[in-house]
Amino acid sequence: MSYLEGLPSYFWLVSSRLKKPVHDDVPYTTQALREDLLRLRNAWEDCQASRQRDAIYIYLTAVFDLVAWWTAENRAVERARKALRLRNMTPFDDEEPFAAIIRCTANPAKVDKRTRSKWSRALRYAISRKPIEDPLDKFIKRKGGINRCAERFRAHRQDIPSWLLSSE
Amino acid sequence: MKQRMDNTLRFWVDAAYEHIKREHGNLTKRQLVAQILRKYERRGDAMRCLNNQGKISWKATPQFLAMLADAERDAEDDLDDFP
Repeated sequence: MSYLEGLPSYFWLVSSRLKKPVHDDVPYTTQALREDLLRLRNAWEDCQASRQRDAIYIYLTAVFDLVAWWTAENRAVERARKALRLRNMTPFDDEEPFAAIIRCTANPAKVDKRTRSKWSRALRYAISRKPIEDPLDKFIKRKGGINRCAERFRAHRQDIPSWLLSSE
Repeated sequence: MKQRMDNTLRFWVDAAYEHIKREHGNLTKRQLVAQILRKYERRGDAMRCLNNQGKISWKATPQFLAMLADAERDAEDDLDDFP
């Protein structure tokens, strides 16, 4: 990064007055969730605007990365439901987080229930099997593509954590 | 626990920390960094993710990176205009 002196003060200033109480941790606020959902909608728009054959992985990777860290905090189901509510959508019974997040960030005219289910199964297969350092697109392609990963999820369901099994 | 973050975000968080630390001598660096990250996350400049060790870490968002790139281009243009 060069020419730092040319950057506006916006980049330097955070706040001169901090509100108390101040904690060591960073709570995940509703506004932060809104920003995450906005990024996913932007990723959706980007992949729709792209002519690249694999552009859908831009969006699926963004969805995967968000739900992955929610899962690491064991809060994926709760946050996915909150995301739906923020979009004035009613959570379905047993709707799992990937399907919920796809429903509230992708264009429903382009992603029907069947496609959503297929993508969600492929992502659930990836989250249960993908080595952490592997990029999602490479993993899915290595395993035969999105359709094949969705099939593999069904075939290996006995080995998959129960929270990933709802709303197939 | 120390906050893990990518180099770009670390640079700007450190810069923000240096800017405000004198005004908040009663707070630890860890507390101030947490406040900075919270604000960056709320305005869409920082996001959480899993790193290669499967730990939650922070990184600059695409929006923030784009803004930095724009600012850098503007600064370069300004320099070109300088006699």
